Amino acid sequence: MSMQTLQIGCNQQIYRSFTLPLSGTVLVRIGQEVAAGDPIAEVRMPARFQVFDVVNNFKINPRHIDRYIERLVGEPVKAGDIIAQKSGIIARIFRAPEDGMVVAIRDGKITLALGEKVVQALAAFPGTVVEIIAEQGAVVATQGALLQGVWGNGLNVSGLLTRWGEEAGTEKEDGIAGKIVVVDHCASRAQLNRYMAQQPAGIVFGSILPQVLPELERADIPTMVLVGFGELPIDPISSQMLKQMQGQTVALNATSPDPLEGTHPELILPGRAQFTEELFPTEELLKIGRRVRLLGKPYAGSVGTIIELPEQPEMFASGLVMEAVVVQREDGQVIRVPRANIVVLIE
Amino acid sequence: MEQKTYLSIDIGSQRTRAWLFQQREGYYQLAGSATAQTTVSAGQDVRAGVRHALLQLQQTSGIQLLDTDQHLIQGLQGVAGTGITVSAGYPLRTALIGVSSDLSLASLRRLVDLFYTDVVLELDLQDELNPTAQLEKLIQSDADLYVIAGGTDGGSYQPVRAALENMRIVYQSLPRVIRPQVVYAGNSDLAEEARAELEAGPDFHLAGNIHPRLGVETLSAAWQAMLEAFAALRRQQLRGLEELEQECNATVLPTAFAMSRIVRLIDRIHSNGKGTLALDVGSSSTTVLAAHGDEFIGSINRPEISSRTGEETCRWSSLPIDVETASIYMLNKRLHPAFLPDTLEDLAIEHAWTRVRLQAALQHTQEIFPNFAYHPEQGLFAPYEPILLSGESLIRVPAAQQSLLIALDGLRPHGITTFTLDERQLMAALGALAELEPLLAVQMIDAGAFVNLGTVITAESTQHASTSLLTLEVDREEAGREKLEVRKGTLKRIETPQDQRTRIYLSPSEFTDVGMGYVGLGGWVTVPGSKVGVVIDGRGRPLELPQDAEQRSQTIYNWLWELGG
Repeated sequence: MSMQTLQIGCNQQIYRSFTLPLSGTVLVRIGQEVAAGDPIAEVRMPARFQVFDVVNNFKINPRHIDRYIERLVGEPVKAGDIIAQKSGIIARIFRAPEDGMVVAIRDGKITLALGEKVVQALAAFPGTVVEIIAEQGAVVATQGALLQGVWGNGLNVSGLLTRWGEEAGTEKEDGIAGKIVVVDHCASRAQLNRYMAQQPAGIVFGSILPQVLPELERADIPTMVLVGFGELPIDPISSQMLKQMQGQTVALNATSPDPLEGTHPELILPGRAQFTEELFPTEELLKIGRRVRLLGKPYAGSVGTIIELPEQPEMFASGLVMEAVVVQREDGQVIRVPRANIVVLIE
Repeated sequence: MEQKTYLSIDIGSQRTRAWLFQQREGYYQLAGSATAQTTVSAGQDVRAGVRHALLQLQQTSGIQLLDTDQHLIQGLQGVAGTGITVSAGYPLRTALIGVSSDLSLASLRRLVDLFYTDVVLELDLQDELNPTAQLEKLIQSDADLYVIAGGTDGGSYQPVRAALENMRIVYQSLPRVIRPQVVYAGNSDLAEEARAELEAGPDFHLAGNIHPRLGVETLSAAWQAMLEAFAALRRQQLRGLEELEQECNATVLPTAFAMSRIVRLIDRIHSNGKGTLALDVGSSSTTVLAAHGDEFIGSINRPEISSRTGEETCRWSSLPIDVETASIYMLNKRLHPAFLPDTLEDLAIEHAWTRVRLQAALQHTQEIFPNFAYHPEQGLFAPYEPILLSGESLIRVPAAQQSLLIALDGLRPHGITTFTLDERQLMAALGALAELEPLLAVQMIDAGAFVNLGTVITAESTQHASTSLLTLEVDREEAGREKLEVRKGTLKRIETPQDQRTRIYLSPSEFTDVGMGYVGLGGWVTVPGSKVGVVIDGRGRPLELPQDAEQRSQTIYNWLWELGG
């Protein structure tokens, strides 16, 4: 049985694909080193379209429209170029409002594709290109410390990691500006506003309460939640990892969690790249000795080690009969929980 | 294999299921079923999950399904046919293009809802005459699926024709990674011109006109085209799906559509003058399917999590909880959809949220199908019998009474109806095979594929609380007769033996309606054996819950206690 997994650990092989939503041009090659924010692929497309109704604007007979149109479909045009004109006492002229191309002439109407906008897929962390995805992007690999979380607001940034709190002396106004700050818990919008006002580059919360979520979804600062919703402690494994990353430049890839894509928000501390040929992690099987994070009450957020996998389903306090797992928590307590209610930590 | 064997596979967002049906002595039976985790995330192939499920199915059924190369054995020595259904995958971003909001767009909303769509654009061609604005809207929609309708056959088609030119530019100009699909379900006179104009090749799906004449709506005329478009998109989105189809010699169907075949079939089998309703509540969506003769209603609703949902969930909890606790549970469940409640508090929240999701899905159905006859306060007025319950949230409960009470509180039906439970989640499996072997579904339903959960008699009266609503006499044959009284505001359960019928005589007071046709009219009701029995719901409509949170949760707890759950 495969399980929900989160990767936490040093010397992790990290492979992430950065792709365009449309077919475009890949700008990198295999083996190329890229920095966070470098474009991996791009597509150039019209910024806007304009449809001009020649028949109605020029008040002409549709059968004679060819006499008035000066351009052909597919022809590029410059701003100010005459596209159609009707001469006479009161001449009527339609000029291209900006550079572009004629994309259609039909039923007395001319459609222009105007301007240009560039859509890019950017690397979220520094690494090496190991695979090209034709017309879409590339897979970038790095080796380093990785800490995955459970929720992100879809943005990413690189910066110095610091921890909010008295010990780190980061409560001063200039303490967290431009840095990625780690905050154990956020319980209110007022508290969130206090952090945001100090203009950090990004924020990593251990946990948050639901009332903070709408603000975070709208925030333009990359934000990630490590453990979940509610007042949950940051587990010792994640804490240890944060300690190792503290004071170093990390990449916060606060992508939205997506079970279909298998993506999680993550903090990456890139190290020296040593790659294997394997591009995707193999299925992680539930087995004795694996460390897990617990999801259900009253242990939500805490971690432990699997010590037994009972073969027979068991009845839990809710009355539901479910497949169980026996976990020894960090404090030595042994508990039985449903298999569905754990996340396997890949260290 | 000497017996005819059919295989059904359902690829859900969390789990991949497989069922095997085998004909023995002329009758089809379930030979086994298995479940594995769905494999659709990055780098994964849906076939891995299917293979796991089939390996398990081989073990549980004792029937060899895979050869030494792990390929499905087909033909005389293997399975005679396979059905594949899919509910996994992102909702299909869908743009609807029609000539009026009240007519073609309203019909298109009804058409596409059953196909796991998310409508991101509605283009009303009467409202939006500016072709530049039309084009911008179409491009910005970034849709996977464009569905066009408008005009009766032989009628005017000028606005649709103008929009087709814009559609062509969108289709041809944007280099999409996933090729968008176009379904044309408008004026038939323009159909071939639309095909030629768009130059979309196999990405263009021609349907019959959903409005062939004024005042006539035939959504089924576009189902085949919608199925083709759905399959084409899912093949591009889910790695390995196309190869799985080839290997199994099958075409993928939307799970909800396959289920709808069974709802329509049951409606034809049960000719009781009422319709058939099915409710499937899963972690990611709730499906409502209703059939009554030629009329069909199908919708899919995805649950939203908001402070209002949190408040509603607290309102329906059998344990006193606050909004924050409910919201935390719902948000964490969205992060970990496989999570199962292992404490009483989590179970209370889960069941309350299931009620709220059901009500939201019924409200959504009412919005797109105005003839559904559901009122958010008064409940469901249209008579449906049976009402079939399916999906993890309604099946994975500690006691059958809980399934029934959740459904009852969600629906709040009127009159007399029967609830059945799709315990083994067979609806999609049978629906997927219904076209290949129609006898299979009919025989499985006849043989009791769905468990009889209970009969509900709603007694309604305008009288004040605690007044007597009705008396009833239960004829248990050998065990003699029993008399009971039901008062307003209460819920009463009468146990019925699983394997025999029970007769109940209803004597309502002159102000009580028990669904026999008139207020005050009673009579004999014969009910089949069931898991829960007969439930007399005298709580009234709307269901009034106490304002005080403690009292409210105690009331819900008492209702469950009354049902024996």
